Amino acid sequence: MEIEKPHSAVSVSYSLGLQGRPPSRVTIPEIAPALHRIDARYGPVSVRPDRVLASLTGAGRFRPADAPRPTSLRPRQPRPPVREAPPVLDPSQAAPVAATPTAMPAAAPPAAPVPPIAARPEPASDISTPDPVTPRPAPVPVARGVEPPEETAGHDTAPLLSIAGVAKAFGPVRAVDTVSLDLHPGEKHALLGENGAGKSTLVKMIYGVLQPDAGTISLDGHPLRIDSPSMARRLGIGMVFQHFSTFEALTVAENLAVVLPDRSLRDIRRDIRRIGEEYGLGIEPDRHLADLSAGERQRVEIIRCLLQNPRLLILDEPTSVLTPQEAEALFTVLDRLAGEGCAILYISHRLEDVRALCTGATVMRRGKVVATCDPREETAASLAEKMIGSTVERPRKQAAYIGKARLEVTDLRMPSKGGMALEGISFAARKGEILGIAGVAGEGQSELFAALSGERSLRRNDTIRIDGRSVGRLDPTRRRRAGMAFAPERRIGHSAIGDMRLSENFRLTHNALRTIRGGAKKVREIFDVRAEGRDPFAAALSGGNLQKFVIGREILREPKVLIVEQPTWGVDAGAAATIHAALMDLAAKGAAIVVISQDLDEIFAICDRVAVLHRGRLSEPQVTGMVTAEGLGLLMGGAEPTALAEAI
Amino acid sequence: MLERRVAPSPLLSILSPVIAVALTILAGFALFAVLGKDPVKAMEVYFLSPFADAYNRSELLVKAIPLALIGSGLAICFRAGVFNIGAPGQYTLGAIFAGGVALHAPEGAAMIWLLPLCLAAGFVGGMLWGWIPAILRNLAGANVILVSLMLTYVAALLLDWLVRGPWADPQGRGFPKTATFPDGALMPNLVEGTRLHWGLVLAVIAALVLAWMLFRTRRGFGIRAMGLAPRAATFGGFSEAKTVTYVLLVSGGFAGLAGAVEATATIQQLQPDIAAGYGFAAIIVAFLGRLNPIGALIAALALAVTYIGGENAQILLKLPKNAAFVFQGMLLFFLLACDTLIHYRVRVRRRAGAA
Repeated sequence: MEIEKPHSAVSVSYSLGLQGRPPSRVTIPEIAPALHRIDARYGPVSVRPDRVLASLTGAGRFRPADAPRPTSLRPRQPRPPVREAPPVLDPSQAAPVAATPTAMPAAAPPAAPVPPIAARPEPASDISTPDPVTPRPAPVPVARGVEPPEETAGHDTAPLLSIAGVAKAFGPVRAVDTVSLDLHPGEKHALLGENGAGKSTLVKMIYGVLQPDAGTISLDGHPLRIDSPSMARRLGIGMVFQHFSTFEALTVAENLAVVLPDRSLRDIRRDIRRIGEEYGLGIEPDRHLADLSAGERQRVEIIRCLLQNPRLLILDEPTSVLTPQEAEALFTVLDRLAGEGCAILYISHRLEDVRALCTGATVMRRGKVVATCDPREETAASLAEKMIGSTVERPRKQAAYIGKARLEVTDLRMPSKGGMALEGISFAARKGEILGIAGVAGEGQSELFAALSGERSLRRNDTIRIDGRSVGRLDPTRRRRAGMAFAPERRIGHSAIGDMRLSENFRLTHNALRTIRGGAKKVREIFDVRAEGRDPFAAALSGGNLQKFVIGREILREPKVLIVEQPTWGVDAGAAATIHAALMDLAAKGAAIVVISQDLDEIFAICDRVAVLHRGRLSEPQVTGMVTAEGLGLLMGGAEPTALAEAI
Repeated sequence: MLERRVAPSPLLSILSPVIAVALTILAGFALFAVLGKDPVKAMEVYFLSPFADAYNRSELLVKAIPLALIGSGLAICFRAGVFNIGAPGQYTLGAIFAGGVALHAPEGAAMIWLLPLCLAAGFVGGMLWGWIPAILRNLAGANVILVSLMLTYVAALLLDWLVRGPWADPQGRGFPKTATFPDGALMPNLVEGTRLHWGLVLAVIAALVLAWMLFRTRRGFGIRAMGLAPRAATFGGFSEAKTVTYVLLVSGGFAGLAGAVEATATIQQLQPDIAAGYGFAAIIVAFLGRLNPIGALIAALALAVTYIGGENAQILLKLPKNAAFVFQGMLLFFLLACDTLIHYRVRVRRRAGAA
């Protein structure tokens, strides 16, 4: 199961055996059923090889307005275990290679790659070809000049990392399904995909956190079993996590000493200064971590990796915590590292970042590789299309009678508390309406939910109004009394307490009000919550049944305004259908519903209007029938709203 | 490494304290065998002599009273996930406040109100001492464990200074103690001829009230929710800061009450040693009682057995006094180990070898 966000937390809890978060953030279990659902609703979706080809070459992105839309880019047949050809940079070569991926002999490099556009021939000696056995020697400073060598050069060498037919399943869920990927020294390769596409699972296998069920991971052509992250580090694989695993109370040098027990603090302090000067990662070794900004902490993480002389550096959503300026500085460092022969595997859903940095990209969707391309040759729109895949026309929820605004949010601002700050969010949800808020993970969704639910109260009371009544400074209980109801994304530990019985969990959001006698039982009957026993513990319920219980618990109160985050994340198809029907039913009765979701299928299926959350800002809501998945994908990747108009 | 079990056995969760007691007895056998004492005899002295006669039984209850009072308050606090280990300090402050009222009561005042006033003052004293870690935590993010523990030493030194300085008995010939409390401030005995006093009734009432609060009121629900899942509790509308403050006030208050009861019933004056160690033993009581105030009542008796048994063993077997503390420590150790193993299983992990 794909646990996308808290990497460091997950890896730490692995070793402690305390899986902090139940495996609920699953998209894969939804996929097979979701495909069936789409098939059932819209007829079979077939693959058009020409479209696949076109999308791979980027040629199909300017579609004549009257041309039929490609039905789907999703390959429906299971792909045979394929060794992907090394990513090709020359656009003239891209088409044949991509079109016949299986035909390519695994080891054959593309014949004499022609460096792209502004390439200048590099003397061979200029490229530090790493010795396959010994670690890369300490980087030689500056001699190489300001400009890094062209990245194509790496393809003359054998792949540093070669993944062939790797698969990983969690129960019935195939998180990574026969994925192949080659990575050459000095290459900056992007791993693109939506949440739950399998990127993190793949990377965890490379970093030794997880073991593949099938397939091989080879380093320098030697198949390896990477048992643990420490082994990965010994092999020269470094990883910069999205969430840093550092000790706040220790200094920079002390933090690094913790992971490098065989070096003295004085050596480490000296190395920090040296690496800082070489790479422009200046950081004072004696500062305390608690005093550092997110960007500076990331520098510490990168320095930690560099101290171990990595040959492959994996970065998981590195810019998600950075300001644009910090991101720019990071790219300079990565360019430089790649120039020294270090391979970079860059995981992101930020299309602009990938386009600016990477020379190759592998796009994953639902556990499989669906495309490889050169992001510099793509537009944000074509990348988004590859990531999201579906361009299927689908019927949308027909707008019921939509009346006056019930929930009004005006210029909602909330400072960051380790996450994303909200910067001036305004919207209104009207009577009878379901408003969708789309966006990739970590763009401010949980902050927006906390602000709306009152878990974090706001400075100005009139920022949030329910039927004209200001509630911005009220706590969750008082907001519930004002007619609001909430269902957060995480079930166990947020919307419900695993170690409490359903009756007590029912009370959790009803205790502010007159208790409904036997409420838990009523919810179970009305919403078909299946569980053993008269009053089971919440933890004993399956994800789908618990989610039905949570949504039912809120709906039973007949709220005026309902805020739901990821209502069908990781639940089975039947439960998802029940929940969607219940939400549409509630809207039809005159409630205003806000659905915060990363699942575009869901948004298109039930929402009347949709807005996109990106970096704590919300786009202007659009009528769902008037936007396309690509258009939303662009906004989700951070393109300016004007790009949306162009994409439609 | 430890791996969480999917479904901990409910039966074992209840039996855990019993298993822990059994293991403690077994370990005790080994301990006495190593010390060269007859283990059977030692066990008899430890675990049976406290029940042997009326005097021992009454002493057992006398020891159990403060343990139960403090332990049931701590059960509430631990339920909320707030680890107040400063009960000895709160107990000491309770004794100081009660003693202050008793020693400074105007002569000839309505004596019937003096004892309730002392007890109430003790409760308030404990609450104030428990409030400090709550304030520091909520304002500055201070660690409750550390602050409450360190305040224990502050309280002990405060008491020491008072009984040697301002409150010292003028007729005490330099001994560090206060004058004996006036009669109106003394706790009456429950059974004539023993030291058993009305504190027993207080302890039982306290446990019942706290259990009712924890399991039957909205506030108790919030406390349990906060301990199990803080985020869910906040989502349910329970403020974390308010809950922390509340449970520290309650547990501090009952620890203070225990101090006041001990001061007015068994010690009857203030002196540097007022057996504040009860405050630490009550941590064991709270956990042994499954963080249930009524359970704490029973657990207090079990702990009292080790106290009385330890005293008897000291006299009859010439064992060091600390043997009783060793027993208490083993009991807590086995209890926590049982609880951990009920919720987690041990998995031996292969060392990562080279490929």
